[in-house]
Amino acid sequence: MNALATAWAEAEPRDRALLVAGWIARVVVGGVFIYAGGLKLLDPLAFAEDIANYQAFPDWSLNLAATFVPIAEIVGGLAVLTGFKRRAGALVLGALTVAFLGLIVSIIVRDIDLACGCFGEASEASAVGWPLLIRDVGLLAAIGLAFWPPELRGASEDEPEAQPGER
Amino acid sequence: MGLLLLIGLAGVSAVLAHHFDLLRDAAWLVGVSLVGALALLTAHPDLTILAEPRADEVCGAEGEEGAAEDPNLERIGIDEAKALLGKPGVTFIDARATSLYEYAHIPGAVNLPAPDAEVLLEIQSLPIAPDAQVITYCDGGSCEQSNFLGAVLESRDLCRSVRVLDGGWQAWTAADGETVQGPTRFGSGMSSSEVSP
Repeated sequence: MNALATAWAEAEPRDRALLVAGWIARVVVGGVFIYAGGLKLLDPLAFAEDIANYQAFPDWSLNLAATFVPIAEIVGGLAVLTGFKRRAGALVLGALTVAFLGLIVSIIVRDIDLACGCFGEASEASAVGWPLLIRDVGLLAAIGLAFWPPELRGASEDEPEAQPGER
Repeated sequence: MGLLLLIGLAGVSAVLAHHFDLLRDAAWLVGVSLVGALALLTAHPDLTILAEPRADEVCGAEGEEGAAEDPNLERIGIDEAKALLGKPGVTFIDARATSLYEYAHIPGAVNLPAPDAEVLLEIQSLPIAPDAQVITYCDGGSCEQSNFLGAVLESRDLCRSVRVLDGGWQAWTAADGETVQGPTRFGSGMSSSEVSP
């Protein structure tokens, strides 16, 4: 803890701001993905139907995607939130979000009217469209913020060599 | 060309080598997720059922292929179905999952999820008159469910005629068909008034 306090005291104001922003982003990103993944896992069949409605996946992949995506969201969310393999978790969540963005764009281009399924049944009212696209772009930015800042020395074993001001 | 390819490969290799730890950790997380997903698939019996045929593989916008799968089932267009909405003796049956039904459905429609239809019909009576005209619909992404459900109803002689709504729910909403929200009244035994969204 002393090492953390010392590292914090020695950090430049810009690095401190980045660290704080990163922590906030981690809580937000981790919370959102754990929540989203948990809701989907409650009813994987309904989520599989949501995926099928996107008309972008072969039938054989629907069930696998309906179970893999929520678990990856939870695993990635936990990694980002706890700091254990934080950057890897952010990378996984970032890849998922980029895939979601691609799907949203394809739905907008094909002019299909459907609920996004992003938060399981809780998102039935959330239609796929520009607001969802903007929301996911914001989420991707938050993931970047959760990924980028280095840990304070001693805060995590993920990047033991990282120090504020060293990038 | 060969030199460019070589340079590209070297660049990719350098990036991979530089971020090896990160990529290895990410692969580890993906692997953990994949194992979890496969375990869930193994443990969840219902998940082997889904694999709905895609719209373009079964019925598409016109529903021709779906009709060909079961020539006994007639199709009904959106306009005709809209005209029949609310008419005495006409019942819409929603073949989608209960969660989708509760989010929104055609007014007066009875929810009878296709995968559970035969079981539900064994334990409950369908709340429609025997001389009713039934119109089944699915999500529109696939007409197989409504075809299947219609075939089940016909085989049990539960109604006078069964037709399948062309294009299903998506076509209905695209045509600004009337919709309501509310819980299902069939299957769960619930009874509640429907409310407009």
